[in-house]
Formats: sequence, structure tokens, C-alpha cells
Amino acid sequence: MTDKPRIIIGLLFVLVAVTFPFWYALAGQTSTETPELVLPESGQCIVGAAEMRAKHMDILEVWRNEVVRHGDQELVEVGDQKYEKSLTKTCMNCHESREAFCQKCHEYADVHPTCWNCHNEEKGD
Amino acid sequence: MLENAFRGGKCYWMLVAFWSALIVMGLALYQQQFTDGLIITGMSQDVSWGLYISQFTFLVGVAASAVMVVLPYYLHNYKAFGKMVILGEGLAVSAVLMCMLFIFVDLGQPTRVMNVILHPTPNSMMFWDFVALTGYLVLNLVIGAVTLEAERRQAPPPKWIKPVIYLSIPWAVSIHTVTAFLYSGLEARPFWMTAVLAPRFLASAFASGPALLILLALILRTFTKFDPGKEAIQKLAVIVTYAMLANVFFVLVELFTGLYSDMPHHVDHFAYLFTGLREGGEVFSALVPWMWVCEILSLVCVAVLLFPKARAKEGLLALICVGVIAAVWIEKGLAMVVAAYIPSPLGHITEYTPTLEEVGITIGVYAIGFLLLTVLYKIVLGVRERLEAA
Amino acid sequence: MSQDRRSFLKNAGCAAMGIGCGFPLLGVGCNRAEHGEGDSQTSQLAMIVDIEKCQDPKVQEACTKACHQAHNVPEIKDKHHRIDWIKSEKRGHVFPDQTHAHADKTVKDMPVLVLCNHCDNPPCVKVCPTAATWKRDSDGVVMMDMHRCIGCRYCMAACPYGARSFNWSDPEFKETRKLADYPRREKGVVEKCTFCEELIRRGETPACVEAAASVSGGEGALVFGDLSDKQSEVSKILADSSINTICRRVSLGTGPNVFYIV
Repeated sequence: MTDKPRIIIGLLFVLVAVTFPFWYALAGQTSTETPELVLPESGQCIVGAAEMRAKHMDILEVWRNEVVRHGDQELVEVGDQKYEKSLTKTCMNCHESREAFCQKCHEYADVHPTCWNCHNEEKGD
Repeated sequence: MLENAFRGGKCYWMLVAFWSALIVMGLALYQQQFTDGLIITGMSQDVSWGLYISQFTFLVGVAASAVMVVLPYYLHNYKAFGKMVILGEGLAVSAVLMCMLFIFVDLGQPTRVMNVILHPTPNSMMFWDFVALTGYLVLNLVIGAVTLEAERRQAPPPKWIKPVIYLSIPWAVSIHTVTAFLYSGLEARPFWMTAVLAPRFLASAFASGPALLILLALILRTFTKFDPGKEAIQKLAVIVTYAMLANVFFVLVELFTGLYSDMPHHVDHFAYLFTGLREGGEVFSALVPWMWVCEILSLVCVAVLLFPKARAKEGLLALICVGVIAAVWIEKGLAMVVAAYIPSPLGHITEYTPTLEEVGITIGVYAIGFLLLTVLYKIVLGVRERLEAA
Repeated sequence: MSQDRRSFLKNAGCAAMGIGCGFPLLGVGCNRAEHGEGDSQTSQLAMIVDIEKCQDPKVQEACTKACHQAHNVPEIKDKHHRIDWIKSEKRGHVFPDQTHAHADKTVKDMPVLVLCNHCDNPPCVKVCPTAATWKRDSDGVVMMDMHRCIGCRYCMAACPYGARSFNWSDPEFKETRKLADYPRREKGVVEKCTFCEELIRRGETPACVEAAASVSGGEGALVFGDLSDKQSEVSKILADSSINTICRRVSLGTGPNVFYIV
């Protein structure tokens, strides 16, 4: 019966580990309310909101490779408007602040894109 | 077979605890480096490679040296190495793992390390080094596991392991050659750009690796029932002797070409190492005492090793092996990488001293390697002890 | 041919391993296609530095300031970790093979502007394990991809001109102006002059060239153009036998594209 204390400790440890997501979230007081985004006053995005929500990471990655690695300068045509393939010059031009817009959903989804380690977070000069 | 790693006496667990403590320290310091960047090291824009890469250079030699026991045993049926071969392979696995870890801790963006595989670039020697090191790690793990398992079952190993073992022999030479090629093709660094760099790497590898193997075998014999045999140790000592002779010869050859030609591009780096450089009233000579200790130690060790009677005295041999490893470590693990950056291509002299954090992370990586070595050797010992008891 | 289950599994395993090993080769093929290896280079951008005119400290300051501001290069006080895309170095160090022992001290210490040479045969491109740096076919600029760089600093070991700088820590931006349309870098990547590729793709001239021309007496201190265009100013200067131009460390075979008028 000398294994009993070891078994009990082990079981407690497993219990704590398995319920980790629940008590950690409670302690972090994270909200499950839908994020409230600060949308730009006017204008239209290059694709619809639902498509953008699903695909914006891929769009940005494709743009990144095209512009940086292939020197592709073609503008994106949306109706009669032409846009540069740029996070800062196109996306951030309308969605002016990372904190007011991008971060709301990113925090909710707990994702940490590293784009803003280098690219500007606010619409600059 | 693997359960032997979990069964051990007090000595074993204390050793594991010791390595683990050092690993925890290394991890804590690495966490700091991961957050703050490589600024916590002593590297600079002029000396952009330092302790981490030089440890990788030294250890890749130790890893390659397993071939020095594998080749005689498997290619030439030198039976005396029978018990030693698995020790050599264990050392190779541990050393290669440390090599890869040292490169990892040296990266500025370690989370992107997979880019080397996702975007292979065959023109880069670093890509091939990655391939060679990974392949060598896998080879030795497979060979070690299969041969040990065969020994445990007291049955001959499966036939397919023979070509794998034969492959590991040129592969061992290749990991070292590729690492030398990292350096010896760069026109920007005349200190490295010499054809003799690859042979030098091999010579110092075959001196330091078997020397370390001798020490490990003697330690095992003192603390456990494992005895690889006097003949095996003596043969390794002979290998160390010839390799060290070649190493000293290569150093002298390099010194001649560099110093006789009087070309500043060559002379300056040797001058920095052996006499120090003077610029603007300041003297830069941090590595000078190290180099002289290294060269004198090399000569003394080689001189003693030349005498069979001296090699036969195992106490003296152990001391000489420590000297050989220290000399090769100073040469490869300290001087070789750093000296190529001093003076810089623009003629600047920036000295390099590793910071405490850098040394701490280095010790942590070594501890990971030694922990793996301890565990692997424990498994080997466990298997052999069971066989002897049966 | 009958095959038992064991040998089938063995063969399948070997085949899978073989295919797995083939992936790097596929990757190599894709890499080559991506960079259009085998395509001939259509043009080569080059710069000519007039050493005499660039001696003026106002010109040097204007060039370095314009470049570093345009690219959010941080101002780091520590000289061992400072980042420079363009800087002044002593002539004796810039042209070690063309400076003899009896040269006057003023000649040896003369400040010369140095930057990435965008070599024909760049050793940094040769050694990069991830192709984070490459020579562009369209204009010969040696580019940097900050997204791919793993910070191994092999390129810094390979560059014979000291043109590259590593970000040893996260750059502080309190002093530099944040430009909306040019990103900064994070710690752990290498950076260098890119011939202002974000400006030249819009048809503008590099920041340093503009800045030098704006200083009185600095017109013509830096000349920029396309070597493949025989009518460009750079081509004309290089073709003019009365103007003596040299390059840094020609004997290394890197083929630098920054020329100095002596």
C-alpha cells in the first residue's frame, strides 16, 4: 500500500492538468463577448467582410511574396479603384489603428500575428 | 532496453540531477536571450559569430570521431574495438545534438528555423550542413539502437544494418568537411580561406574525439563494471598520437604560409592570436595567452604520446587526453572562429569576450549533451550487465 | 510474383522514405522557378561615388541621415551594435589594396562613403541558407526579405565589405520618425542598403543621391543609374577614359557595382 500516496498525488495532478483550460480562463477573466470593432466611416474593403475575415491572412501572405520576392507592382483593381498590395498603405489607410480594429478580433481569437513587430500600427505621417 | 535509463543507483540519479540543474539554468538564460535578443551576448557587428558557433565547430569534430572506432571494427574486423564501438556512437549522437542546439541558440529568429527546410538553397553550405548533421544523427541513433538490440538478444544484427554502417563512415567525414566548407569558401575571411582547413578539422577531430572516448572509457571502468579492454584504449591512444601529430603539422604549415608570405591579410590574424595587435595606442591581445597555452600544450602532449611506455600508463594517458582536448578546444572552440573577424574587412579591431549569460547558455547546451550521453551509456551498461548476469 | 505482407510493408516504407527525401529536391526546383534561374539579368543598377565631392561633411551627413530616416534605421549609440546602411570609413580601410604605406595621412584618413555594393557575384547570396537575400533579375539589386531571414549571420561572415548589420536587440524608435509607408525591423534579422528599392520601383532616385544633390556643392557627388543603358549618366562616366574609377577589392571577384571616382 506504499503506492497509494503516489497514486493520489498523480490523480490530483492529472485532474488539475485536464481542467487547465477552464480555471486558467476564469483566472484570466477573458471575455467571450463578440469583439466590438471600430469600423472606418466610409469606403469599401477590397473584398466582402465575410471573405476578408476568412482569407485576410492568405491575401496578405500572397501580397507579401508577390511584392517582396517577385517585385510585383501590379495594383489590385476593385471596381474603379486601384490599390497597392500593402498592409500599411492600403489596409491601414482605412483601418487606421491596429488597437481599435485588428487587435479586437485577434485578442478574442488569441492569435498573435507578428506583422506589427515591423509594420506600423497606426496610420502614420 | 530503454527502461535501463530509469533504473539506477544513487550515483546515476545524482549525475542526472546535476545535468538537469545546469539545463534549467541554461533554459532560464535562453529565455532572456529569446526576449531581449542576442545583445546579451558579447558578439558585435564586427565579430558576428562567437562562442556558440565555435562550440558547434569543436563538437562537430567530436561527433565525426566515432568513425575512428567504427572503421577499424566494421571494415577491418578489428575485434578489440568490439565493446568500444557503441560508446563511440553514443558520443556521436550526443555531440551532433549539441551541434544542432548550438546553431539553434545562435539564431536571431529561431522560430523561423524551418525556413532552412521549407526553402532549400543548395548553393549554401549551411543548408548542406543541416542535412549532413540531421542525417548523421539519425544514422548513429539507428545503428546504435539496432546493434545494441542485437547484442541484447544475443543474435546477429539484421543484414540491412551493414550498408547503413558503411554509409556512416563517409558520412562522418562529410559532416566535418561540410562544416569546414562553411568557412573555407569565403573570400571575405582570408584566415579561413585555406584548402587545408578541411584536413585540419579532420586531424583535430580525430585527436579530440578519441581522447574524449578514452577518458569516458576510463571513467566508466572506474565507476562501473564496464571495461572496454586495455588493447582498445591503447589503440585509441595511438590514433590520438597520429592525429595530434597531423594537427600540429597542419598548424605549423598554416603558420608558414601565413607568416612567410608577409601578406597583411594573412599575417594580421595570426599576429592577433599570437602577439596581439596594436592600433591607435591600444593593444588588443585577449587571446594571446590562450594561444600560447594551446600550442605549448599540443607540443607537450604530442611529445609524451610518442612514447609507447608513456601511453601504457593509464593515469598519465588520462592527463594527456585532458591536455589534448583542452588544446583542441582552445584552437577550435575559441580561436578559429573569432580570429577571422579580427581585424574586420574594414580594418577595425573589435575584440570579443563572451558574456556570463552566453557562457551560461553554452553550459546549458553542454549539459543537455552530457545528460543524453549519461542516459545512453546507462542503457548500454544496463544491457551488458544483464547479459553478464545471465 | 507473390509478396508476403512483411516485405510489402518494408518496400512501402522505403518508397515513402524515398519520396520524403525527394521533397527538398522539389523545393529546390520551386526555388529556382521562383527566382527565374537561367533568365538573363535585364539590367544592373549602379552607383558612382565622387570621393572628392563626398569629402564635404555636409554631403556625408545629408546622405546618411536621408537614408536612415527613409528606412527607419534606429540610431544606436553603442558603436559595436550600431546599424548603418551607408556610412563613412577611412580611405585606407576602404581601399586597402590601393593604399600604399607611403601615402599621406590625409589620404589614408580621407572619409569615403561606403554601402552595399550590390555585387554581380554576391557572396552573401551564395551563402544564405534560406534565400532571404537574393540578386534581383530585373535590376540587379541584392534584396533582403526580412520575413524569411533566420538571423544566422552567415551573410555577414561572407560580405567582404562590412555592408551588413544585424539587429542585436529590438530597435528603439523614440528618436526616429515613424514613416507610414516603410516598415522597421525587429530583433534578430540582418539588414542593409537595398538601393532604395521602394523608391526606384516608383521611378524615383535613392534617398542618398537626392540628399547629396540638395547640398550646395554636392551635385554629382552620387550618381545613380542603369549600367545596361548606354545613355545613362553612370554608363557615360564609366566609359569616359579621362575619369578614373575604382572599385573596392576587385581581386575578390565579387563584381561590385558601386564605383568610386578618384
